[in-house]
Amino acid sequence: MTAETSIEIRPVVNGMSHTSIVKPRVTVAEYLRDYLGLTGTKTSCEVEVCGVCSVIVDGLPVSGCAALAADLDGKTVTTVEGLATGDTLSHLQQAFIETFATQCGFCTPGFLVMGTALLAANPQPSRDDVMEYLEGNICRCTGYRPIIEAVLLAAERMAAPQ
Amino acid sequence: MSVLPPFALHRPSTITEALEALSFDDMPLGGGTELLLAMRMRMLRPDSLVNIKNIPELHTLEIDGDHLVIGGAVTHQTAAEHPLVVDQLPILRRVLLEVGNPRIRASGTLAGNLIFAEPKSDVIPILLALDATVTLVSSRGPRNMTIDELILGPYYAAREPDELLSEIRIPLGRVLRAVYLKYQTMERPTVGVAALDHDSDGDVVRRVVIGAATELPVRHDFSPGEPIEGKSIAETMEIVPDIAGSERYKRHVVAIYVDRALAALDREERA
Amino acid sequence: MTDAPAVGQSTARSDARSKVTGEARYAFDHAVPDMLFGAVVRSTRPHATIEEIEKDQALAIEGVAGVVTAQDLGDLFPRFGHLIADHPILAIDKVNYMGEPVALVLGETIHAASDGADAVVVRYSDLPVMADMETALAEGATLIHPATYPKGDSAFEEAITEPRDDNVAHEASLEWGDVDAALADAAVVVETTVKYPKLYAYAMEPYNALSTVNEEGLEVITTAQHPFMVRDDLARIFSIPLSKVRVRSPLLGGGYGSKSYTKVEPLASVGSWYSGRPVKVALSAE
Repeated sequence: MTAETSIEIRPVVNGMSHTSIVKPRVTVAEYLRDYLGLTGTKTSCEVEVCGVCSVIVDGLPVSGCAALAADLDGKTVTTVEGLATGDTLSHLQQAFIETFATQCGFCTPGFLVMGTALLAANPQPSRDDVMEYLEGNICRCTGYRPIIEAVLLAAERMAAPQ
Repeated sequence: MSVLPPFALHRPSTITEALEALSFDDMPLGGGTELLLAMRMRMLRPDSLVNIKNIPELHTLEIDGDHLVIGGAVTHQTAAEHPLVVDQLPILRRVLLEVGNPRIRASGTLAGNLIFAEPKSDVIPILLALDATVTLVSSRGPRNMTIDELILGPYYAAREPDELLSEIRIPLGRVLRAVYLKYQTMERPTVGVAALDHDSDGDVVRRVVIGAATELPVRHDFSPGEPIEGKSIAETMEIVPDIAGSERYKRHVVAIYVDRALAALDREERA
Repeated sequence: MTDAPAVGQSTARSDARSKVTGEARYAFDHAVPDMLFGAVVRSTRPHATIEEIEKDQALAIEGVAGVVTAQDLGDLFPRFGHLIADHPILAIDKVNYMGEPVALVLGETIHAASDGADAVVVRYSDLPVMADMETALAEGATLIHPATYPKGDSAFEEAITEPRDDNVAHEASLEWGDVDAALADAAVVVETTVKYPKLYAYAMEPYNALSTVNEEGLEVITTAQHPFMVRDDLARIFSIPLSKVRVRSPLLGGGYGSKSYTKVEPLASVGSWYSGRPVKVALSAE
């Protein structure tokens, strides 16, 4: 079989279908930021330990810096820009504002995505669960506590009867 | 920001197609959690990558006789959550949930972890402790080997460039109780200790595998009643000093963690 | 007494919403039309003479728009620095540390620029390495910089003034009282040497700058904590009035001091000056 140098992908990103042609070397983070203009997802360490590039692909948390855009064909991607519903912020986004979980904010999209993935898999996490799940995300400003509080606050609100 | 070097991509849908493409310059791509990072650092510059994730047979996770079979594209997360693993090899689940972070667990494969042969791997010590075997396939046919036959040294596994690690087989029904304890202050563990009691033809053997502190994991088997002391085990090991600590420091920590693992094992009820 | 609604109440940060929606744009996120990307070729030697920089292989790569070295800077002032302008934009004849920028490769895409940087070949002749203070200060140590540099306001002058005879960059003295008498009089004198490891504050947003240099002046979008200092350095490099230099720091993804002073703005700016197009340089955490 021949090796391909140009791959056509049809992902659905934050609910919108795209058709793109990418070279194999293009990472998911590059695709989102440079091809689609979705700069909410960041890059920093580029070795999968800091989490600023976190996105959700087919329900699973993925490091955008270490995943190939070529693998996105037919997949559903959620980035920080896709967490709100119209103008209504998600419970987690709202909680981040209230607990002051964002200072410089560069790590915020990654934490929001990972927090969202956690709450989808485990709607009532313990504090330990939250701390363990977020151990792949680095924040250099807040000292982490307000971020953990935000996730627990969001979990509480999501469980409350509407 | 840095970027990956240029490469072409093969997207086989069968093992045969994959094997046709593999060579020294055409490397298999599973989760890419180590391979892509090495390429980004220009330590590896393959002409192409062979994406094995779309090959259905490599996603096997089933029981074959008295073995659990895990395919070469199965991720840590998938294996950790699979009912067969939860039910039959709960220690494997506990260890897999310690690997990296949730993103690495969702993409990284057990096979990839073995082939990368990172000396500080969590997966290699537990598979060694469980007497796992692997199959490497190529156009020349399959080769089966044990974990210590596969892992030859740091970052050095016995895979030929045209081979694919297609499955991992773990014997079932032998583990009576098991623990995995690790001490980690940075991205990789300083020491990881897998300790288990297993049934060996009617006798209970206590096995301790110590990873991360030496070039290759160290395995010791003890008969029932045989005294085990962390300090004496640590004394015989060729500890590798590095950023995680000096030889003296690591030897001290290894001894403590072996003792703690054994104490935990005595209290443990789960397999 | 007065209507002070913010006092005594919890008030959300004014920028929190844009940060949680991903709308907040850091310098790292900016792009402009016609932009080139700059990839830095860095020294692999700690102290060496640059014998040759081979550009041809890089220039042959599709998408590579140019390769800039110190020799291409013409009449530009080739150095920057807050107190002393002793920091070459691109290494001048020699490299003084591992990782010193030697060339800037400009590419239509980040991939082309990076491939170009991989293809530049630099030949070095090693010079004695002085990896600690004691060696660098010892009698007869090899001089790292060729001469002294003027300081403060006179740093705007180009001329290097006097030859030097040691590796001391600068001396500053902060003193009061009679120290010798106090030591002689003390009941106990304790002397010690304290060693600090290298520290890196690791702000999550990598260093980056997007610079546009044209007849109107210079505008750079950068993640700088001290934009006025950056402005001064850039004005000096291009010999243009301060009023013609505009430094925009829209939002920093962390700094903690590590983004004080001028970083990659001169690189991006000489890249733009050389090519006639905006140039973005973004480093990785490495």
